[in-house]
Amino acid sequence: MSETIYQINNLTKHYGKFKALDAVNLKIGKGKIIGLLGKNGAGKSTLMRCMLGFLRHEGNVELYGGNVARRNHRIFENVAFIPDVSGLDDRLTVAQTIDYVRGVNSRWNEERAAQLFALSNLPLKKKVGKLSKGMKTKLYLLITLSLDVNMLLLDEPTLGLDIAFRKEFFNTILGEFFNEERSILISTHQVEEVEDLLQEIIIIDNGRIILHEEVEALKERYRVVSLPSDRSAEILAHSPKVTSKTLGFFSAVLDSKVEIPGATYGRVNLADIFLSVVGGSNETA
Amino acid sequence: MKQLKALFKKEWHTNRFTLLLPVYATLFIYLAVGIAIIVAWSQGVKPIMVMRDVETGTGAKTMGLFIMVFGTTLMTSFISVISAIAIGDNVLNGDARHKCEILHSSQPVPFPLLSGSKFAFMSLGPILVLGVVSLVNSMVISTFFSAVYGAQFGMGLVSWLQTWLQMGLQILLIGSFCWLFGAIFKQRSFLMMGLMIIVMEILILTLNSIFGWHIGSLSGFLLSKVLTIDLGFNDLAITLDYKDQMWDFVNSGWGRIFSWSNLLKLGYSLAFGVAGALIYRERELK
Repeated sequence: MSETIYQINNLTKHYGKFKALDAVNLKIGKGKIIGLLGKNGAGKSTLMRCMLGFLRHEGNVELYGGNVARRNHRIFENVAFIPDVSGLDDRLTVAQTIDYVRGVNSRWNEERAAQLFALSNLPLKKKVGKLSKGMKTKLYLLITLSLDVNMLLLDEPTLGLDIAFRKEFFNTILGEFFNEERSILISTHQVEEVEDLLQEIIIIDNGRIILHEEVEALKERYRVVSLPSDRSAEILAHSPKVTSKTLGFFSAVLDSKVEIPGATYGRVNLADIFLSVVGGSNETA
Repeated sequence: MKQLKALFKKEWHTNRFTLLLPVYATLFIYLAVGIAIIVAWSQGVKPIMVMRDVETGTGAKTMGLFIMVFGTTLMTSFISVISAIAIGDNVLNGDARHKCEILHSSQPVPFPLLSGSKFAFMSLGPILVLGVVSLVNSMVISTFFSAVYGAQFGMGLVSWLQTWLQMGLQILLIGSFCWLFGAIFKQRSFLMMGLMIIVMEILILTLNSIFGWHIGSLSGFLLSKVLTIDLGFNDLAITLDYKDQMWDFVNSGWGRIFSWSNLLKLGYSLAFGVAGALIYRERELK
């Protein structure tokens, strides 16, 4: 099987006059867990929906070398998608939902589904609409993990859920889905929780991919530089996008090549990198 | 086949109440009639015997049976039409209203199968329910008429079959028309359909008055050519003993069912169905 799962060239999407995606180029290889980060309205969901053939767009989206045509059912023989928690059909019961996906989805793996659902405590006779947010997400997750697909797209799948459940969600995905043939693209606001999972990150801003790099390489490339507050000008001279003041110290994320005498250096996390690339509410520039 | 079964089951689970409206209405009527009979008997009134006192020939009694079955089937079919209209909108827009369109669209189901199953459920579902409910009604009425009045039992079934086929086609046509609008408008499709017809009507009237054109009325066309049913009762001369006319009427009924105008209605229905499916396919999932 090909090393590349998705190849996207010059993907542009307009909503009326608003350009939601602007000439996006992207390549997603197999065996990767990739974080898709961006502010609200940056174009994360639009990008995923274009990858699934849900939206009309300009440019080219290829899945395993074949063009992704709009509303092409064959996409879902290779790709599964979990949107946010409200995505299930609340008119069906849990059992009816499982039965429905089992019936319509040719990639359903009965053996795996039996294993996954045996361990869950989902109330089969209960209407989905009566389930808690956590239960709904769990149901969607278990259904998705019961499919033999090679690519998983997760669009803010744990939005509004408590921290314990979010941790369980990502641990389950890692344990039950991921292997060297399969890839996962996760769009989330809770960067800290997926930080240890991610191998690559994509940062999207105003519809453009402004960074796509391996996490480890990024962490090598950036570091947190701190100086006493009275020397803040030395940091500001490097035009950082985001700065912070803590206990008499002034800090910013700067390129690792930047050396300032007397400064202390710390390892960056993804949130720092994200903010330093796209800027934040305390943007200085 | 497995996919089709699962798609039908999903539609069944989500539209069961609307689909079975004719069953609930019929059960309600049976219950009401049952209570009325019990009350009448308890008060010493024997309504059946009163009716039996009417002296008529067997032909007229059979005709009475024919009309009775026709009438009940027609009444039930009105409810089935409502059911088809509601289901037509719900199979296309219900998923979006319940914010689960993405779940259903993220399955590897070929679009013709997906839209075909929705269309079949919207049209064949109410037609089949009408068939079963009206068959039960016709059996009950025929049994009563043949036992009490000596009417020909079979004629009740013929009446049922003819009315069911005619009204089934009507359900298909009206349902398909609403399906088309359900595909065009995600919200309040029935209301939008009415508004669109009114707007078109005003436009036609305006154009006719300004340019002196003679464009026909859209609603007039829909009502006269498409939605009307020729049940042939205008041709029927009711006599008190008219076995021959009865058979003529039945035979002409088959002629009306297997007619060019009905074939045209079938064609319209399929055209509306395909057009609706193609419009539905063009929707974006946001």
